[in-house]
Amino acid sequence: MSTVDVTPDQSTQQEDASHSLWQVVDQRLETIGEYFNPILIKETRQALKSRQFAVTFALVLLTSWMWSLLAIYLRYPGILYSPDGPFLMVGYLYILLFPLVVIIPFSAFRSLASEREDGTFELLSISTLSPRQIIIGKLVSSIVQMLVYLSALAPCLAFTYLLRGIDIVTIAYVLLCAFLASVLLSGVGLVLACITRQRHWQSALSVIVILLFIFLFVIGLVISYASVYEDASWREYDNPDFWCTTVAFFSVYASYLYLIIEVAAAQITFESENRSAGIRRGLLLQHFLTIGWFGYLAIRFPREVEILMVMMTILCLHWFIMGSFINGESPVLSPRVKRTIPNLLADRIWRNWLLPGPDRGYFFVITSLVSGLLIMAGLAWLNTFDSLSTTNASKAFVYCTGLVGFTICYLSVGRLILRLLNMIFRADVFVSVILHLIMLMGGVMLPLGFQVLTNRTMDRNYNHWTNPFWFFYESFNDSSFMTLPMVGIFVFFLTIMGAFLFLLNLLLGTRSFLPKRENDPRFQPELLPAKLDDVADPLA
Amino acid sequence: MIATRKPVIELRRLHRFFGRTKAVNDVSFEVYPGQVFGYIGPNGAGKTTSMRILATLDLPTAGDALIDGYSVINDPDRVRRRLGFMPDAFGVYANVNCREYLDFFARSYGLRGRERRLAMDKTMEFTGLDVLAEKPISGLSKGMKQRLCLGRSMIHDPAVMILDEPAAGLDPRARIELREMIARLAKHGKTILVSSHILTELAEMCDVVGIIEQGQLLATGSVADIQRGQLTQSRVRVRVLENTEGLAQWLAEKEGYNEIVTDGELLHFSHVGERAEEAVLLKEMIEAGFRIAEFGARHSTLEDVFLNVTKGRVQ
Repeated sequence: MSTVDVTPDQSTQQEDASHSLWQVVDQRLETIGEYFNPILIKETRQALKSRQFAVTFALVLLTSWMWSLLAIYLRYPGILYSPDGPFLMVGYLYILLFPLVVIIPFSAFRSLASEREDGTFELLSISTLSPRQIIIGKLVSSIVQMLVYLSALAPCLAFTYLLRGIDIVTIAYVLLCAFLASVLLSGVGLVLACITRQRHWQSALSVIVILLFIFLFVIGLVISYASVYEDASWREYDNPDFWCTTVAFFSVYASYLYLIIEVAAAQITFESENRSAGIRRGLLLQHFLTIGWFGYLAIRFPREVEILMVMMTILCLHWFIMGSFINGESPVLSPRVKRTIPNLLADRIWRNWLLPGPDRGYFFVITSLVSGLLIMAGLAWLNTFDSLSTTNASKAFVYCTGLVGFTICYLSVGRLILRLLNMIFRADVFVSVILHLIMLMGGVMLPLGFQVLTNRTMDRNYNHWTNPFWFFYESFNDSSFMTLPMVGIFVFFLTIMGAFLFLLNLLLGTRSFLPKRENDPRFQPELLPAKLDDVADPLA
Repeated sequence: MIATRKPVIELRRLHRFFGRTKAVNDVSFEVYPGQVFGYIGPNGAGKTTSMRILATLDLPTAGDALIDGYSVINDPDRVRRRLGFMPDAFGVYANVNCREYLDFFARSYGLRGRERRLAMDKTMEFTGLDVLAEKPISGLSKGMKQRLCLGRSMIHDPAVMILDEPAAGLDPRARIELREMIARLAKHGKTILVSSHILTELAEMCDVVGIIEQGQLLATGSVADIQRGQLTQSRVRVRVLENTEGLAQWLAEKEGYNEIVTDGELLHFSHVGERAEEAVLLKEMIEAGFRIAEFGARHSTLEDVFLNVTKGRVQ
C-alpha cells in the first residue's frame, strides 16, 4: 500500500521538476526576448507564418534531397573511392544561393515597400522606434531566415565533408561569404524600397529589383562553381596574407554594410531631421579604411608607389561619386536641425561637417579629399624613406595632386551650376547625379570628338586636359609621363583652378557654412504678422 | 475652472501651405484635459493636415502645435510618447493576429515584461478584442479592425488621442460601440481630438467642436456656444384654435420671422435669433388675443450649425 502511494508521488514530483525547469527556460527566453528589436520579433513571426517561406523552405529541402540522390547516381560507383565532396557542394550551394540571393533580399525589399504602401510605416514612425532600429530589425529578421535555410542544408553540407575533397574551413568560408552577400543584398533591398512611394513606380521597381537579384544569383553560381569545384588555389589557409586579405575584405564589407544601413535609415527618417550625419560618418569610415589598408601595404612594400596611386584613385572615385550625391542635397536646414547646432564655435566647426546641406557637404567632401592627399604625401615620404631617389614619390605625388585637382574642379563646377539651377527650380539629388555624369561625359567626349574631327588620330596629345581618365591612363601606362614639364605645368594649373573654384564656392556659401543655433521666427506664433500669404516651405 | 488649467492640445497660429493651397491657414484652438474636441469640416478642409502635424507626421509652414506643452517642431519625441494617433487608414499587417499586432506596438513604444502584458490585457478588454486575440487580422470585420486600431493607438496609455475619421465606413452598431468607447476613454481622463463626418454622433460625444473650412477655423466652442454666437435659425410650430390667418398677418408685420406657412390650425415660421426671443413672442401672441394651444420650436442641430457656418467652398 505504501509503495503504491509513494510511486505516483515521486513521478508527480519528477513531472513538477521537469515542468518547472521548462517554465524557467521559457521565462528566461521570454526575458531575453524583451530586449530584442520589436521589428525582428514581428517580422520573424510574419515570415515564418507566410506561405512564401513555407513553399521556399520545402523546395530547398526537396531539391537538396533530390540533388543528393542525383549526384550519388551520377557519380556511382566512383563516389565510394574518389573525393566527390566539391561536386555535391556546388549543387548545394546553387540550391542555397537562390533563397539567399533572390528570395530573402527581395522579401526585405517588399517588407519595407509594403509598410509604406499599406500605411503602417507612419504608425511605426510615430512610435519610439528609431529609423535605424527599423532597418536593423528588418535586416536581422532576414538573417534569421538565412539561418533557417542554412540549418536546413546543414546535414547535406556535413555529407559533402564526409565525402572528402573539401575541408571544413572551405565549407565554412564559402558559406560565410554567401551569408554576408545575402545580408548586404538585403540591405540593398531595403535601400531600394525607399526610392519611391508611388505605387506604379514601386511595381516597376519590384521587377527591376528581382531582375537584379536574379542577375546576381547567376554571378553567384559562376563564382561558387569556380571557387569550390574548379579552382582550389585560393585556399591558402597557412598563408598569413590570406587571412590579412580576408580581414581587409571583411572590414570593407562592414563599412559598406554600415553605409547601406545609414542610407536606408536616412531615407525613412523625417525630412526635418538630420539625415546626413550618419551617411557622412560612413563615408569618412570608408575613407580612412582605404587609407589604412593601402597605407599598411605602402609601408609593407617600400618603393612601390603605385600602391599610393591606386589608393588616391579609389579615394577620388569615392569622393566624386559621393560628392555628386551630396551636391544635390536640400539647402534648407529644418528648424529641428537648427535647434541642435551647438553654441560653442569649435564644436560648431566640427559638427558643421555632419550637418545636412550641399554647401557644408561640398566642404566636407573637398576637405576629406585633401586630407587624403596630405596623408598620401606623408606615406609617399615614408615609402621612400630608405631610398636613394625620391623621383618615384614625386611622380606619385604629382599624379595624386592632378587627380585630386580634377575631382575638385568637377565637383566645384557642379556645385556652381547647381547653385544657379536652384535659383530656377529645386535641383535635387537626382538632378545633381545626372549633371555630374553629363559633365564627366562631356569632359571625356568633347576633346575626343575634337581630336577625331581635327587630327583623325588617337595618339597622345594634350587636347584631353579635361579628361581624368586620360590622365589616369597615361600615368599608369608610361612612368615618364609624370616627369614631362608640360604635365607638371598642367597639374599646377589644375591645382590653382581647383583652389580658385573651391574658394569661390566657399565665398558664395559663406552664410550657410557655419549656421547658428536659432529658433526660426516662423515657428514663433507671437512673432508672426497678422496675415501670412507667402511663406517658404520649411523643408522645400 | 477650465481656464485655470493648462491646455493639453494647443494649436498656435498654425499654417500649412502646399504651394498655393493653404491647407491650414492660421488655425488656433486649445483643448483641455479630459475634453473631447470634435473637429468638423468638409473634405479637404484641413482636418487631416492639422492632425498629421499634431501627430508629428508633418511640419507646419508657420506657427506651432503643442501636446502637453511640448512643441511638435522642437520636441517630437516627447510628443510621440504622449500621443496616440489613429489615422483614417487601418494600417494592419499580414500573417499577424490581434494579440501579436498589439504586442508589436507595445514593444515599439518601449513597454517591457509585465507592463507590456498588462497593457495588452487592458487594451484587449477595453476594445472587446480579448475573445478574438488569436484571430488573424485579415479575418476581422471593418468594425473589429477599427477597434484594433483604436487599441493600438492607446496601448502605451497616451494622455492625448487623435482620431481621424474613426467611424468612417462603419455600420450603425459598430459606430455606436465606437462612440461608447471614446466616451469611456474621455471618462478615464484622456483628451481626445476626433474628426468625423457623422455630426450627430460628434454632437453627442464632444464637449467642444471646431468647424474648419478651406483651412480656416470658422467657429470653436461647445455646440450651444456656437449656436448662440451664430444666431441660429429655429423652425417654430404654433397651433392656434382660431384665426390662423390673422396670426400669420400679425407675425408678418414683425421683424425676424419669415417663411410663414399656415396649414389649418397650424402655423409654421422660421426665426433667427436668441431662444429667449421666442418666449417673448409667445407672451405677445397671447396678449394680442390669439388662443395658442401649442407652441414648439425645433432648434438647430450640429448639422444645422455646420451648414450655417460653412459655405461648402473647396480649394
